[in-house]
Amino acid sequence: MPDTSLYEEEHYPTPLQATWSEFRQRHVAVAGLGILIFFIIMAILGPLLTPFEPTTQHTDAVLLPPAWNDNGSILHILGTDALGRDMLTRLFYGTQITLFSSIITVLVALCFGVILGVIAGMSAGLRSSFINHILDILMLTPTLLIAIIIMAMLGTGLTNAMLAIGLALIPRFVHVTRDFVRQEMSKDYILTAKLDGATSSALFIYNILPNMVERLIVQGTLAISIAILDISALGFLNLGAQTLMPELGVMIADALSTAYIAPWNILLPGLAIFLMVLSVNIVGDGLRSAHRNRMSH
Amino acid sequence: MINTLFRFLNLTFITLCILVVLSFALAYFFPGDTWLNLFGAEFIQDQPTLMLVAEQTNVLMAFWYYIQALLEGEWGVSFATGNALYPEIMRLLPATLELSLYAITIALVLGIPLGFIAGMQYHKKIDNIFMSSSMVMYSFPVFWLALLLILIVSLQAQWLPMSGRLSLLFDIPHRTGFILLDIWLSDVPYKQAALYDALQHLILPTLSVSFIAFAVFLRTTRRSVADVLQTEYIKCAQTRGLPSSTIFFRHVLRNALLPVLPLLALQISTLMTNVMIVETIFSWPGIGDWLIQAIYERDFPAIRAGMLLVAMVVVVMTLSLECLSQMIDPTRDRFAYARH
Repeated sequence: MPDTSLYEEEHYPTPLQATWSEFRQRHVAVAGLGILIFFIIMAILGPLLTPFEPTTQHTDAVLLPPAWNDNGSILHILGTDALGRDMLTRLFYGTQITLFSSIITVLVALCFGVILGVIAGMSAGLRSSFINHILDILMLTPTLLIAIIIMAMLGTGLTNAMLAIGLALIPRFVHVTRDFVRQEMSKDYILTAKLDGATSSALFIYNILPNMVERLIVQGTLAISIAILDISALGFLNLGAQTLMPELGVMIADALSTAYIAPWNILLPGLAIFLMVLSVNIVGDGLRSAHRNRMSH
Repeated sequence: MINTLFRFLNLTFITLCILVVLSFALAYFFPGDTWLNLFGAEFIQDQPTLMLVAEQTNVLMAFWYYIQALLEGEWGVSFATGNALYPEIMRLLPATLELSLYAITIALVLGIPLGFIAGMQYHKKIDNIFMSSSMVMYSFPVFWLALLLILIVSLQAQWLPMSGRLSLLFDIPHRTGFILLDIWLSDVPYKQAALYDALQHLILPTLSVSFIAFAVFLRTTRRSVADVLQTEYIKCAQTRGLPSSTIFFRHVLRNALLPVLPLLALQISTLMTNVMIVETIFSWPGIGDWLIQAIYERDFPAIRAGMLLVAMVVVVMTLSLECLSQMIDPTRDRFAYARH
């Protein structure tokens, strides 16, 4: 007997599911996702796993090398820094601060960027021109310069560093949103909704936004890698998080004075930043390819 | 063409104006006295009339004086050193430009051809190797990379010097500010040795900056080549039986390079950030190192002046590249903001 319930049998994946199945076929991307999830879990659970505080100084074990070295101790698996603070503990807390502050920065920048992008994309004439000029300047100004200006006005600190990097990231989201909104506004399904009497905001929320989510996820992932690099760079330059805070860039800056006798204090935090950025980039790249493949099918 | 040029000049002018307004506004946002922040203490002591003007006028008049002073090259006086800012910045800027120029040249010369190779071999072995290694390369935090280079090349192996532009043994008169050019123009007896020394000092900073830029350029070019290869006109040329060298040089090369140029323009600001960070690590006497020192010292006139100049340089360079790419390819219409 022929199968009559043809439509019920067929499973149509939602766009997100389709992208996910494309993404899953890339082993490298899945591995990157694995590393990223590992870092997130470490950032959350790390403080529970370690018996030390990130600021406790073990004066009996200063500049201890990692445990696999002959002079190392199993008590401090990754060694200690010049003040006798446990490296592994500081790495856990550092990952937490660097990764989560980057994610928060990107989320805030994304919200503002999308709102501005919609305004720029839906408006015309002087208003559009004005927004675009301001955004061009923001985008063309090097991030470090924006950060320096904000530091000069408000003083140094992690929050101000996040503010500066968020400001520098906003134009990326505005560009994506603006171009996409402009492109969609001329399509027929928007015209239909318009003829039904939908307002601009309703048009955006119900018709354009659902189509844009994936692009925003891709852009957001790539922006996180930039944010991690910038936040740690500002920390390294002593412009972002301050010395007491175990931020990864700050840890590298602290280790500079003992770089020759204790190079692992520079290598380990840098490696953590590098692996974090690499995994975010791999995931972002995988998502972008998956999205592109899905759209081209 | 003229229309494009006009739009470009207009956009550059407006952008520079906004920058000047912003730099003026900064003096109000910075802590402390506005006029002190604008010009520095010594400058105001030297010109008592200015102080009088400052007390009597409103914001608009103050802005007018500020513009006049800027145009006359009176950029104020540093809090920290008491030196006039304009000559100081002009002395430092060539060092930064030199570093960025060499870095960008290396990145372009290596990145674009390799990007073409990767793009032509799309999704084959070479492409995969290039793509994964470039992904690793641009995930490097630039300061960590610079420190690793110093640790390995300078401290462990002791092959290359780790800071500065030139060994203190050499005394080269300052002319253009570009160290290689200065040595070339000077008539000192130890020209060869000085040139060799300057090149040795250049290697590590240039390498750290170009490392990341190279990866970005490679990826951009590869994407663009891959996109061109999938177009109908390439398929058409292939079915017509054109030899692959003809297809490459006549169709792929030019069309693939077109979208690369504006994307490279966007990279300038990232490059500038990296140059500034690398400068502080290698004690390269450029504007980045100087600006970061200024922020440690809360030297507000210096921050304002340095920010204004660096932003101007970046904006003009980027917009010129945009303009160039638009003149080559008139179908791109990025300056037309007011339309749509």
